[in-house]
Amino acid sequence: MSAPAYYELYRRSTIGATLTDALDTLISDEKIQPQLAMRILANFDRIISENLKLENNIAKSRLTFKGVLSTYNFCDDVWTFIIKNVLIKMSDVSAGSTEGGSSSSNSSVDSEITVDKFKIVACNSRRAGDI
Amino acid sequence: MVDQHEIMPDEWNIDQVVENIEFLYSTNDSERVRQIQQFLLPLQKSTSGFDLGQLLLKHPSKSCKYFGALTLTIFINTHLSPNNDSIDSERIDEVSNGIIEDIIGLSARNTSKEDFDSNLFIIRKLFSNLSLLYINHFNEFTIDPITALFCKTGDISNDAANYNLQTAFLEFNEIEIALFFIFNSIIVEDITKKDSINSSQELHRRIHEIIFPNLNSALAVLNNDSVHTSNTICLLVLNCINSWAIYISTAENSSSQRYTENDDCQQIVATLINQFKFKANTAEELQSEMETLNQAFTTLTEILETYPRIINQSKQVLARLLFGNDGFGYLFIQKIIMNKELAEEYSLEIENFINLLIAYLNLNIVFISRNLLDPEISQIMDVVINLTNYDGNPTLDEKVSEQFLAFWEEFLNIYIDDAESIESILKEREVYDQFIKKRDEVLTTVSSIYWQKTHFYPNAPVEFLQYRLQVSELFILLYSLLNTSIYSTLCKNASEKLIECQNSFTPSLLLDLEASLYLLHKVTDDLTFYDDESVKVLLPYIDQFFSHQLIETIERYSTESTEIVSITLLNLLSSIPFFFKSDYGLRYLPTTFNFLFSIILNPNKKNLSLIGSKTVLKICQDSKDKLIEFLPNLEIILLEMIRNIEIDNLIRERMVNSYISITSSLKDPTRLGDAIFKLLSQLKVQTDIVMNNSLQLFTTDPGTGKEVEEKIEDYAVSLLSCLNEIGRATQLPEDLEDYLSPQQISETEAYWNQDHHGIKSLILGITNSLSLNFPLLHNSTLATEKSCKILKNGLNEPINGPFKFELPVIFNFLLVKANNCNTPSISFIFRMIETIVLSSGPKLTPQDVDELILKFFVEKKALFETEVDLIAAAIHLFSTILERYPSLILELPVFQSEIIEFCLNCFKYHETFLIKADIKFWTHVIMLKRGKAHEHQFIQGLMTNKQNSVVGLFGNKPLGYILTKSAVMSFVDNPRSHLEFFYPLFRNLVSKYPLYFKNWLRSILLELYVDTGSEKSESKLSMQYVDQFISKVMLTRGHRQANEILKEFWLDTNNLVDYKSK
Repeated sequence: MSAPAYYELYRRSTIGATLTDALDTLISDEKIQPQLAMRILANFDRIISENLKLENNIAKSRLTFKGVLSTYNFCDDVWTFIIKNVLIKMSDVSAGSTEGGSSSSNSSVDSEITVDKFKIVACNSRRAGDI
Repeated sequence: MVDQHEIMPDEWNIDQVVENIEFLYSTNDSERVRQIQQFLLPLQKSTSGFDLGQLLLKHPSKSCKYFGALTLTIFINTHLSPNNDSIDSERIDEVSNGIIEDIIGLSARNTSKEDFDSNLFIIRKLFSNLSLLYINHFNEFTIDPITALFCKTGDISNDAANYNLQTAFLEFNEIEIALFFIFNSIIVEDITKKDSINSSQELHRRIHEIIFPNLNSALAVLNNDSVHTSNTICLLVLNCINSWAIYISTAENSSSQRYTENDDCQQIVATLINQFKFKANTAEELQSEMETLNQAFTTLTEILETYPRIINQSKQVLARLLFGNDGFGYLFIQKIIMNKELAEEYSLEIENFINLLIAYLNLNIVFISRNLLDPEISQIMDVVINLTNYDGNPTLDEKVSEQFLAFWEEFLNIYIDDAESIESILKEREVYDQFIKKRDEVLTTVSSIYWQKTHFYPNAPVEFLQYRLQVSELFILLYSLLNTSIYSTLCKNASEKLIECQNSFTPSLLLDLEASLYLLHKVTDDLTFYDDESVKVLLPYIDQFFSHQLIETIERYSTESTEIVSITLLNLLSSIPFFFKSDYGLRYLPTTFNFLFSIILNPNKKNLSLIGSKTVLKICQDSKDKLIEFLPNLEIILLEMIRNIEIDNLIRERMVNSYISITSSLKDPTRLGDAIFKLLSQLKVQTDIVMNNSLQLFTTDPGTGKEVEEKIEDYAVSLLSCLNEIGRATQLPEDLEDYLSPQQISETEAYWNQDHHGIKSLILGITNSLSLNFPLLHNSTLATEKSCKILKNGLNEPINGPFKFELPVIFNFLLVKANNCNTPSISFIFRMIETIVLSSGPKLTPQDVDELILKFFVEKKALFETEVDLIAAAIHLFSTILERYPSLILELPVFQSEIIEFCLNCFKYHETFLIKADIKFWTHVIMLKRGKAHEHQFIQGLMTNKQNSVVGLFGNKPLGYILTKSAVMSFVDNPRSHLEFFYPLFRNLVSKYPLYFKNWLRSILLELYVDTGSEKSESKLSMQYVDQFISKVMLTRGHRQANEILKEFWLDTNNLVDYKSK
């Protein structure tokens, strides 16, 4: 089996998990072969990574946060941070609404949530697809 | 069409196959496609797949030819895989020679260019087959496949040992040159794709030592000034270099091969740089080469981003070409980018060119940032600034300034991160000062360019919002570096624009002002988010533009077309509550509030009024104590808002919260009680009107019957929401002792114990009237939600307050509501009970819980058979009680008679939230973290003992067995994405009941999944497999390793594979 050219971490997102379940159903119904499912997932890994790149300008939601950095480590080119008592501010300019909540094309929607614990796993985007 | 079922893989004839292929490529019938594929695939995989492929490649139809090439791929993957040890080198030779013959057949010397082009998609597939064969069996190849191909093309295969590809290349015609570079691209692309890390060292060595020198030599030939190459070849060469750049980076990562920039890669770099050295003076000349140039831009960018080392030697040449006054870059900028018409035509090429410049700049960003005083760097900065200032509205007319935003951010970050090292490098004070002066000059220029660019323009696309946000982030970085100086500049600018507006107004002045206010808002917002204290330093700067009649000027001059200015002002006001709290800002509060209320109360500015109400809410919450003097006015406005059905519900609710928040800040229960009473009295009046004479609410024609009904329903829900907002605004902070003195606490307790206004009964009265007695809201889920929230407000309050109700009062309300609502409302009632358990658990007795379960669950059981949301709500409630206060539920008869069976039945569902909730419930049952010793014994008895009351339900089996069986069946039946929910359940069973679980599991698996010949068993596992699986699971003792073992079991029972790359 070849090593992945793209990270497989987005398979755990809702869209990735749903795709995987759908592929399982297709295999069980003998509509496709497992090899095709693997190719499809490899394509999914590539496409989702490329589309989430900043320069593609597709993902417009932004997230700002502050909290207490509890633990962090850097291993195999992957940073992991665990932050406690976190205030997260989310801005979604793609929603095209004003900050007051009504519809307009002039501003973005901001919302804030507070969570006890927040885990960030950050992989090097340059490596994905370049290897 | 031949019936495929009659044909065995070794009994095919070519006509039947061709007929099927032609049909395959012409039909849209997916069922027929599937049937044909079922027929063709076994043939392709059979031992005669190679012969079939060869025959198809000789067929005149291009579809058949391509299918033939595909057949060869399948044949190689099936019979000539690298793991197959029984393959001899003769067979490899035979196949590789066959493919080479096919390629020659499709591209022979006498083939016309048109034929060659039309065959190219088949040739590419054949190259890929040859690469695959070589990658799989390179040890069996005596000469590399590229040399072998051209050796045969030249018809000198008999003397292959003496064939010199590098010499032969000199005589190649255009088709051969094309083949050479295409094959060189494909072979390295395939190695990169096939195996980026585990490729054999030997394969990478062969590529480096045998194939690469030939490519290098060919590039050297083409780089010779006297050789003219067509644009087609140029494009192929650049594509090939692109593939090699990626491959080289891969090979260096995964092998010991090193491609040195001095020798190996010189020709690659020369080829790329040569693309920018051609003599051109006019736009037309550039246009004629645009396709090649564009490819060169992307290839060079790719190299700069992935494998910049090979450019090291040529950095300066490249810099001169891209940024020099007489270089290619200058010409391209002047002739193409600065020409409006051509810039539009070649937008993609310009984007790629700018990306190339940015890739170069990023590569040298540290050097550039530290050598601003160097004339060459200065020249580069001039070009970059000039391009950043590219004319036009960003995102709509031009994208260049947007592309450069990321670079400038990075550039600023260097200064922020490297401040100390720069100071230590530039030791002489004078030089350092000069450097800082130059740096600030550059940054000031950039900030003024982006300030200009961030001006709002009519019909700006939604992308412009994103752009402005990015610009604001650049200014936030600028603030980090330059501190208040950039803030002060923006404030000064705002003040100047205000003065100019007052002296001689033009709409563009208002937009200038807006740009500054927008950036000030974003910078301030960011600063307050991270640190409330540091913003105090901003007070005099903010005061500067407030003192120039900020609000009055905008109020006076803002029109519909410049509404953005008001929006930005509102957003700015909401980000500076610290200013209004200070002595600086206090004096502007009256004007500010007047402005805000004029907006909120303006029915023609609904859009603005919502933002305005949010701003008021924010200021009121943050500066409560400074706003007390506004209470009388606010009260008048608010009472009118409560009366007026036309006011936006959200605004009304926000204002209620604002008013009560300010009153609460007095910490005087009497004044708070009076204020609440006034609002409640008005809410009561409105409730009575809604219920008895609702048309009285409308001053204008309310519309048709249905519309009126909807408006009244919304208004009635809003009255409940207002009540809830009063509750929210009166909630005490967590650290009560820090907030109130002991005396204030006792005063508050005493006041609310007495409650002389009867506020609590007023709250209950209004809630009951609207939620229980007003028919329009009987089936309103929203009304139920709001009512529950009203009652929740006081649950966690440490001392008595207006919303602190006795539990029986709440239960009574819930009970009446449960009999008088729609089905979705029940979920909210259950969540309410859950909250009561969480907040008031110690006050509850098992009898209370028994009664609740009886009334809300047992008596309504029919509802819980179909509605998954209700099922989940009920399980959540049981789960929470078990988790927090197990003694409240465990020994109730209903636990065994109803709840256990109910939760076991839930395993049949596949809804994610339900499975999660159910497994959480069972995990709490097994672990019983807060259970006492006798409760643990009780559960153990239920789980393992056949003699208990649950037995009657499950045919003489202990609960543990039934639970394991239900869980296993559900686990196997659930989709892959749900597996991780089951792991904790099985792991807890393994750790808590190891011996029992082992026996239960074995017995269940034998019954359900082992083929015993009986009809009952569904499939397919062997006894040995089951025993191994159980041993493996038990060995984990419930630790994390069990997850993978369980997953493997799921894969095996479902005949599925693990998609993860190993």
